[in-house]
Amino acid sequence: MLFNSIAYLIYFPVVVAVYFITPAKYRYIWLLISSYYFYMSWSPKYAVLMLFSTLVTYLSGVLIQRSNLKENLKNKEFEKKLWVALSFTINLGILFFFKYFNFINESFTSVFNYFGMNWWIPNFDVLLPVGISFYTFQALSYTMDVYREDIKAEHNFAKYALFVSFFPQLVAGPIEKSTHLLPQLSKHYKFNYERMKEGLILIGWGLFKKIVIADRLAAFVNTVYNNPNQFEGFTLVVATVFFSFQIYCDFSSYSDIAIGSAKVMGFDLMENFKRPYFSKSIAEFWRRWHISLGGWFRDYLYFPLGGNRVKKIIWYRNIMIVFLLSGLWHGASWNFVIWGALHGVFQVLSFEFATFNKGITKFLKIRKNSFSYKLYNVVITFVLVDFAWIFFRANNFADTKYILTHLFKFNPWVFFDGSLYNIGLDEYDFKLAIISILFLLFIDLVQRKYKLSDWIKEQHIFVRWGTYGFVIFFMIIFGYYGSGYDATEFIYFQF
Amino acid sequence: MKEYKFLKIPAFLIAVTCLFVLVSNVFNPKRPRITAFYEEPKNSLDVILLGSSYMANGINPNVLWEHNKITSYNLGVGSQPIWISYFFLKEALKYQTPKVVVLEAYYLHDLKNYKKYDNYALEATNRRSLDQLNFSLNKIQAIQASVPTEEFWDYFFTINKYHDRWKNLLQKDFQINNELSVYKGFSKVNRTFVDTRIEKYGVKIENKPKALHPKSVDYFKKIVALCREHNIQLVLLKTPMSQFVYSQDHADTMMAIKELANENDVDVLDFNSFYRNIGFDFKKHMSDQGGHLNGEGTKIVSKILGDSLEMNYFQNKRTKIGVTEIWNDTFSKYKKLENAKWAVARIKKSKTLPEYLNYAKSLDLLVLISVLDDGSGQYRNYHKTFSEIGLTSELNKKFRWSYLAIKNNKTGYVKEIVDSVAINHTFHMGKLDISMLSIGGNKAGNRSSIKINGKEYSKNKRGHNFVIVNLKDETVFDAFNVDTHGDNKLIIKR
Repeated sequence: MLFNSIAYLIYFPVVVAVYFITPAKYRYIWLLISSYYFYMSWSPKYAVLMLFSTLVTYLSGVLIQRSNLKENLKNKEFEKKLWVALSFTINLGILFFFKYFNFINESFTSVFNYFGMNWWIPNFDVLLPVGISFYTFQALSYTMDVYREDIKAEHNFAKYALFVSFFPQLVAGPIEKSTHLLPQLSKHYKFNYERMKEGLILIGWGLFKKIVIADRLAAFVNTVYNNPNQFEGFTLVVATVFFSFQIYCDFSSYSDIAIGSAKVMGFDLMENFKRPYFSKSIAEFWRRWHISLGGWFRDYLYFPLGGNRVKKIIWYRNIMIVFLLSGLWHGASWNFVIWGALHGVFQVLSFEFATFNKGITKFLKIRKNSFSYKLYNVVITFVLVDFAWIFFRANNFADTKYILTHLFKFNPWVFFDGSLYNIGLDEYDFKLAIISILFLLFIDLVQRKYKLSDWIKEQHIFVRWGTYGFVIFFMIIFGYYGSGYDATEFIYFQF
Repeated sequence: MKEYKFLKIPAFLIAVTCLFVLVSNVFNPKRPRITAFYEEPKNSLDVILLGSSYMANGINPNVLWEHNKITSYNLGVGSQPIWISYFFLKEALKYQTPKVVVLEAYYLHDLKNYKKYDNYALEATNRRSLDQLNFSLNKIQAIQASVPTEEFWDYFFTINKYHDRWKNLLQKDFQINNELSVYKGFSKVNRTFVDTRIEKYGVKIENKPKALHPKSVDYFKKIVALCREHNIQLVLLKTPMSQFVYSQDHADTMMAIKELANENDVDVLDFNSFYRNIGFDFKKHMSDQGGHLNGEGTKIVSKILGDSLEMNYFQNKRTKIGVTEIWNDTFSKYKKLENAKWAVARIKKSKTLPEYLNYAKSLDLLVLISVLDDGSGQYRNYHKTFSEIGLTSELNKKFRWSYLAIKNNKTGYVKEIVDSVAINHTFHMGKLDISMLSIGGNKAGNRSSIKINGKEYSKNKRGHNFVIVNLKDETVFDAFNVDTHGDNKLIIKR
């Protein structure tokens, strides 16, 4: 079930109400049942797959813990590594089979065809299980954390199964680390009015971003990107800029609703987005965008590879490996690989030219803490990120090629002759899209210094209720939803 | 303090729900023809008319009142399936205690469509009816019966469908209450359908009964039961329908309908079986080839239905005193509106000014006149035409003078300005900013201008330039010129 559906509007209050009525020590069972119900509302059969992954990682934890007790250090390390290897192989094997098999297979077919040879293995006709990349990574983090002895193995299978399937963050993150979420599942939270309010405000803001902004922008973006050959120049630019806000609103809204939903019940999930488009460098962008995935790659891949405490060339290699895999994590297609590679290259280049850059700024006597210098960096970073989104969004290589070759045609009249108003959005919707992007940036900017939910809390009841009511009815009236229109699924579900 | 905090949650939810209902109502496209039913005084109606568009434009309640003193309301809605008619009847019976219900029978015929859409009607059809019902248990049941389960919420929360109307909301969308309806649900079509296929202007003869759609039969029986429960006589009506739309299939299904009616003690009034005897003529009385009646056709059919109802169920009937007054008042408004419509139809066809001004008298119009060059018609006696409508300046004696006139037919206000030099006049009226200019040929000039909200409407030609504004909606109704200098026939030039 989608977060922005009537089903969730009914499901969530029921789950919360029963959760607080249930005696504290049994609550995790209720949450486990609710989470599996939530997941099975997409496709019941994939729950078996998730259960299997849960079982494998659960056993890996128990076995690693048991090996820890062994006194023979050599045996102990060998066994522990064996369990980790098994857990990773099985889980990544499943992920590979469902997500990457056809992609690799097709790539081999192309290569073989290129050399005039035949490749005989057919594609599998399977649907990608919802959220598989998210829960697999979360479950693997548990195996790793137990291995590193950051956390003790969880012996209560149901509680562990809840850690993997916790419904708010099950299908699109944030990808929690076991050290953060697992202990919370054993805590007893009392109902707290203020906390519930904060959670609901976050859910409301998330829904606003999804329904009012992301889905509206999607109408324009989809029209252009599904038929790019009909457009050129600034229309492609507008579509690409729109996409950058669409994907931000879409993905961050999911995280907000997830964090808000968990908060209502007392749980604390990690922040996943922190004003990414105000980043002043690509490296900073990745500290602000999909933070939980970045953290996962950092802790379980980048650092084990040596991080930056190695020779420069190895360091650059590490960066490239992380970003190539991150690209692949987002989708089984060369587009995503290139997208990841671009981000890697951007970073390597920025590190490589850091000294040169420093020299230039010094030579030109540019004050680094001046507003204009910061703004310049923000704009440059946004342009680079936006450019990379083209590879992320384009449906295939031919489209990408077309867009890159037609992006720079100078046709400023499209801003004046009304032609932008016939591309998926009419004039009203287009202008509303622009206004809502500006509103989003304004809120993001304000949130740098003030927490909006704190501000609301301090206001008179009329202002508070007025604000809540305004947001609710703004969504109801100006939301981009309704029959004859399939609410576009949250983009990140398939990753 | 803590308890008080928890009271705030339900209070907030109640406030949001109330506002939600209000907002949904604003966004729901209004069809006052149907929703005005709720404004009818309680228990004031003798007859409820139900069915599809053939009912909606077939039977005129004002004709029933005029000739038979029967009070009725026409709840016919385009393509309405029988199951929705059933829920409409249930809704009506919450407010009214009719003696007779007349159900138009055409949509008992509809076999192919319901089969095609798996026992349901099309969305547009459903929306036309269901979205007009006030929120109630009956509405929920109506939705459940009319649409597939997965579409239920879409009809339950109409905002889901209509919220996008924020782009074109009008003042009328914010009017929550309806006025008492003058037409009582009747929807008149004023045109006559003409076709060369002469053989189609006849009816099909019933041959052998053809099975009806089970869902229709089921709900027809429910209607019968509901009528029995409320001691109401049910009458099935078939308006006259020629072969343009009425196939052999229809005729055969009608036979089955009649059998069904017979089994359930329902009276049937099938105009196809006697239309010739009542002066009904398909060539004169249809508005389209879909079998809908035109104004004249409606009059004939309504009159026969009224007489039949009076004779069979309403002999020696007395209407409540309060109700009679309301209906008499409504009827006079109806007459006035009909006359106005008649005048509008004629006025647009008028070729000369005297004819035009004669029809204009009975309409709520604002007449604006500005003369260019000369409007005196020096050697001809035009001034009689003008003086008849209250414009008394003797312009005929003022060769090549400037002249402006304003006449409000609604209030009777008249203003005329005549001068030998150029005249400017500006005024406001409602939402309209009007500025007028006349320059006669006496002094150098020759210009006419009538601007409304900055837009020029004057034809700016020699003689009298007219701009006519409809005072009802404050829109420009007409603009033309009459050469009152040289044209003795006073022909209108648009």
